[in-house]
Amino acid sequence: MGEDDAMYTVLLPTYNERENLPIIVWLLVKYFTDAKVEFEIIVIDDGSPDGTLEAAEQLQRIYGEERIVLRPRAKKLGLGTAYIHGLKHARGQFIIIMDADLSHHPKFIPRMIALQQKDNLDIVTGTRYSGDGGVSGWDLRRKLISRGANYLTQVLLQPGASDVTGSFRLYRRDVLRRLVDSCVSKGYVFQMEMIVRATRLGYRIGEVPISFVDRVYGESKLGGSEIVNFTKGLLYLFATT
Amino acid sequence: MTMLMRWLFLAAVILGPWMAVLTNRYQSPWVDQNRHTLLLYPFALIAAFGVYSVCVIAWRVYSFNDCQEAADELQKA
Repeated sequence: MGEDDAMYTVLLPTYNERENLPIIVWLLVKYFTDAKVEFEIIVIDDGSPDGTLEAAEQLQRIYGEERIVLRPRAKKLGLGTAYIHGLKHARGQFIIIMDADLSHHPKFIPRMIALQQKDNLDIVTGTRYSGDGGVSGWDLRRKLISRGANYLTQVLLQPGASDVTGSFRLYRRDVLRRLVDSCVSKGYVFQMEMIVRATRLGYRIGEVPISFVDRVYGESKLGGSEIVNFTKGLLYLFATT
Repeated sequence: MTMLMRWLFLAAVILGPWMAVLTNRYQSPWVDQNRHTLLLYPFALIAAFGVYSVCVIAWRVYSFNDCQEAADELQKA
């Protein structure tokens, strides 16, 4: 199968992204069109009360049902099941997962595609920690906790990627399906588990430095319970992989 | 083999001889002479690893890229 004709599916789980969704779709369409690749965007909305689904339907009228596919769900059911749900009707040979809140910029997708083709990779993951990857809007405390946790993860798990909790990735479709079926964790520990299991299974993984722009203002995403959950997840993976 | 098992194996390799020295199972003039040092070496390893880790993490926090242009780019979108 000629990889030049490969199609790319973007899985976009959304919750209350009525304002960001048109922007991210516009950006995705722009970068995919410039890269001259076939693509589709599957929006998996978990019953957002702010009307995200209506916004998605409008976008579908603008860009067409071939490009914007809607797979809504009744309520918030978690990321792993969102991927499974989206995968069921995905037409692409490659699946891109990313956040819909504009913390991930679609401009990095062509770089992921290029790297995947160049090295025949199974997974390309965006990294904030190496190359010219980075973050915006993080204070010292958050940087310290993030780097500390990542270092601990590297030492204990040897995960095969510099950024294990990142959720901006490109997967070969069968690889994603196999990994999602074998992972049981939730949230960002789920992302960790995916990449660790991928390394254990011998999949070829590459990295593209990305910039992560924190869009969630005034919300502490690294509070006590987050740290506890991370530690539990880390220990779980330590003992089972 | 899981990572846990790998680490347990590593611990056994390091602590096995150490335990032998501690409990006087292994007799030799060299061991008796250097007993003090030998008993301290796992702690020295841990301390060295601790210092190394602090240095690595401090460096990585210091050199963590701040992508101001990325934030500006997003404002325009």
